[in-house]
Amino acid sequence: MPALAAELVVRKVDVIAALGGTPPALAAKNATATIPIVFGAGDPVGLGLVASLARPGGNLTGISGLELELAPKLVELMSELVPGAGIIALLVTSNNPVAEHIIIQNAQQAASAKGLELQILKASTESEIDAAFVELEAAGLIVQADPLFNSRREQLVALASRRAIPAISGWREFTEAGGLISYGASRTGGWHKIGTYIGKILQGAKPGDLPVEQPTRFELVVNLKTAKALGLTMPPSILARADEVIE
Amino acid sequence: MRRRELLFLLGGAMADPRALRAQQKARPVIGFLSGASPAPSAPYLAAFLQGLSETGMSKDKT
Repeated sequence: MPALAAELVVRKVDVIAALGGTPPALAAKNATATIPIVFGAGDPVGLGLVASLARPGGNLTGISGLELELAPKLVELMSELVPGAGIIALLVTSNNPVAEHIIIQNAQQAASAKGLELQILKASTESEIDAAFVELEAAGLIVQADPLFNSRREQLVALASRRAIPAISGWREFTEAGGLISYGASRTGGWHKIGTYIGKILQGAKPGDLPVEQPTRFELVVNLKTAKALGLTMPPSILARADEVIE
Repeated sequence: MRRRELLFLLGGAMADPRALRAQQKARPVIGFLSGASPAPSAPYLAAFLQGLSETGMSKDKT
């Protein structure tokens, strides 16, 4: 990733769109302090991408999908889905220690508040995902909303189905692929914002003056087909809040 | 870095000569640096281009 970021700098692009989570955003930041960068990444202040959301400063701005910050919501959803779960698991990517620390901390606090034990599983390759499911000893699984897991969602959904474990995540693609539930920011909205920021920067706006935007629209997607296969009755409280139900 | 992801990223970089030609015509160039997922799915790309066009820019100008 750093080499590819460096290549964009050598090619003197006018603006870099660093999309798909933490690694591209950090690689772009490390590659150039002058070419404007528009990123999409969870908790950009915590990751050290920008000084503040309101005034990012420097050559970066972007959007935060709140992927790391919404972990407590997913823990709450899981505790509603599987009352008395005891142990729930969180699968995180091991490709960024800072992001990993933030999401684990967020989920841990929520789990403790609900009296749940949190099993942390780490993976960043196909075989590591397989291995994580061997280690898995929980009543429900939360999968970090991350490009890596998004690209491996078919594998994740198949493994969850084989273990007959409820699996939820932050991006709707996961639920569309057969995951049980997703709750997170509308990603279409995020891509739209990135497009407008790049347009503004190409017309002369300074990235450091454009505040990092946070999502305002969130969507809860429920897959009832998956619930049925798991023999799980979807709590009416969740169904009532669902923006979309896959039957 | 997993091989499949690396290949995708190189693919992304290789698309750049087109961007370079665009640059020679004094058009702005947007460099995409993306993560593990393949190219953005159509609805996301459409939303991105829509956002870009709302600022008066368009795919044809970049």
